[in-house]
Amino acid sequence: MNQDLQDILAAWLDHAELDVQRCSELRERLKSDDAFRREIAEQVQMISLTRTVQSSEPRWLQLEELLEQSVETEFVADDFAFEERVAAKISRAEQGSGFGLLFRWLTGGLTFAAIGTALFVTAFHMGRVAERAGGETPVDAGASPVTNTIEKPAVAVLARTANAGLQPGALLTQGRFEIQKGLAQVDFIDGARVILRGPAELDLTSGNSARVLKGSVTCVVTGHGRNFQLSTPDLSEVSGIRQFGLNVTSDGPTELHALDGPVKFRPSGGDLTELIEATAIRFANAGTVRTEFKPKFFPDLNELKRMEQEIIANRSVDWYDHALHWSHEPQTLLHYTFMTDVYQESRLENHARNAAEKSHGMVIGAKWNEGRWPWKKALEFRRRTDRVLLGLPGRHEKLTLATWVRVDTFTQEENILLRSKQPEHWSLKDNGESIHDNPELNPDRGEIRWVLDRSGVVRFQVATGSSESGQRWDVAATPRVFKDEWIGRWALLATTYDATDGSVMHYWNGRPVSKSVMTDPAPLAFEYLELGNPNLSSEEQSRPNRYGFFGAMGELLISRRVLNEAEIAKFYLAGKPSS
Amino acid sequence: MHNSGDFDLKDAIFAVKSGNRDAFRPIVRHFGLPLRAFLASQLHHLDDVDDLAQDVFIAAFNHLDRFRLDEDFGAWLRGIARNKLKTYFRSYSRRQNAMERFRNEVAEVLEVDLENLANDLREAQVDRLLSCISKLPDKMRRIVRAGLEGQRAAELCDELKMKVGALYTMNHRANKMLRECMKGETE
Repeated sequence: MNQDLQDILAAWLDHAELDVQRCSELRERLKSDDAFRREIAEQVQMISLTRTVQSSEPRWLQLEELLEQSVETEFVADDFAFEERVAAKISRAEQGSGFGLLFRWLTGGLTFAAIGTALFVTAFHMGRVAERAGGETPVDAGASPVTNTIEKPAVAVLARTANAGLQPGALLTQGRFEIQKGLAQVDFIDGARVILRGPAELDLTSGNSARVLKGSVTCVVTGHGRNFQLSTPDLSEVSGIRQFGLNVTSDGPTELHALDGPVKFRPSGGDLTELIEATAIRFANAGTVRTEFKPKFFPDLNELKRMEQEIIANRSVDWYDHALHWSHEPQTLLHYTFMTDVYQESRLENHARNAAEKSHGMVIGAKWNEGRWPWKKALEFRRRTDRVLLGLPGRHEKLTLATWVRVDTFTQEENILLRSKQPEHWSLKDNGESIHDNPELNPDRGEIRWVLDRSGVVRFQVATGSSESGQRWDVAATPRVFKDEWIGRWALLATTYDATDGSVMHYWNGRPVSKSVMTDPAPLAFEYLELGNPNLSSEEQSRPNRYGFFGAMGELLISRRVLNEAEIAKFYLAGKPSS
Repeated sequence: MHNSGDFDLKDAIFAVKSGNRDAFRPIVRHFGLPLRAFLASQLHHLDDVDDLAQDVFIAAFNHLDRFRLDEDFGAWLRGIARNKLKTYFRSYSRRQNAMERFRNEVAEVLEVDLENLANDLREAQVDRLLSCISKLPDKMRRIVRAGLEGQRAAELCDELKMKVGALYTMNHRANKMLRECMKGETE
């Protein structure tokens, strides 16, 4: 590689310092040598492209605010119209781009709008006490009442993490926030951003203030967050116009570094003083002293992004290896990895070995978007018609269901994750035959429903027969596992069923959360399954508690055996979002 | 993945002009990445790139009536971006050190070439870039994914046990392969 080319690129990439003479030589060659200039331009363009396509999505709050001005805020009290409006509002916030990993650009900005919407949804539904129709009443009556409220308003969002052991996207309310290791970026709702390097601890006091209790933090202030203030045990007030760093230790002096722009600070009981850019000060018992300016000491957004990218890349590779294992496992009936191609938008590939053609899902309405990490896809279910249909005929004594889901809000009483479909609703049957045509089988037994309801309870239901009031169901329910903080975040739900002893085990994020025994265990028998929003019969539509799923699904495994705790835990660890 | 075939720029512009602000969102999604890449080719810090890209879209939204439908919308956005860049460089010129000034001079000299390259770049090619990166040989892929900015190049040299020159050569070759791959897969 030509040395001139290398030097210019190294300078461009901030990797090398060139002296004045060398800069002058390169400048001259750039101006006089067209081929050389073209070569440099091509390299710079490609470096820029690769950086950009691999970078995280920007958050354009100003633009969002501008575009939001026209959105109507009045809702009509009609279920479907309301649901569509919620769908429209939230889907805008999370629509993916043409480049897969990019442009979930409004997620952060609209998280708060989404919370507001979720609160509205909750209030709305709490005001309309839903009655269960007789035929749909589960045997189990122990489900919790509707309690899906956001108890405290969020003051910040955990926007990014790297090696901190925390999933980004969490909403942070007033109180302590701590990381033991790694890096984390906390975006305050009034516009400031704080980057922490663990171990570090903040006391979040409002949307525009926090107290640094320990650790090294960088505070980034933009035009939106000019009133943002930090404090420490030594300083009652610190505020800057661009960037400053604070280092707080329990047994040493606090340091303040003006990284970009001046910083104002007020020692406890003292006067407001200004620290000019590129200087640093230390606060000790003896008073305030100047100290060496060390900008590299403080966590940097680029450092966080680099770490995040590396983690994501490694995570993708690990998950893919693991996914291959499950796809090739002989007892796997279905494995939707949600890795697909742009040309197969309406087809969801079943990666299980020897997958039958109709087990590949038909995507209806649901949209592809970014999944648990960039390059990993997921299907988003928004409208009440969004679903996936698939054929998976069989009769099973044992079954495991495991899925990575993200619930964005509850628009209905029940989120159907998966349910089998009664054959009479279908015109399509293989060779005109159905497993329900077998006279030895009771056609009213063996259908399944896998549901997450608004109270945060997961239910696995198996049809055990019919009565005058409709179908009877045996139900195994969890305690409340889905809590408010999981809105908008990925979680693994898994359920195992063994008809030989009726046992049902539910798992939440890789850990068992409930074990129960069905009263009338029936082998499972189904032909077709629906994921997401089911095709409701007219009778179902007339009920107040319709089914809905308003979120995303990023992986689904169905195995014809009961996976054990260790296997479920492994499935979770391999697939959990990067942190 | 977003199907760009669903996007009709003229429809979107008509809708925005007739008062539907939401219709501007697909425009942002469609042109966001190429615009950010263009800005990144002239600015070092990605945060500044994203801030400026937002400013460009806001300006485009506010002055959409000035855009003629027979024009290239991407080129129009880049024109706005160039003006924003000039303002940006002016406002920061007093705080720049010698190397930053050199980088900005390089960007100025390359401006025409970069604009021509951006013009030649087809959307489908950019769309394929991630796929092309994933097909690079291991070492190259690692270098491209990590990037060579700042201290990263030195860290990579340690990790990969390579000399700086070899690292840049490999990155150079990777970029050529990526360009070929992007062309090849769309033709």
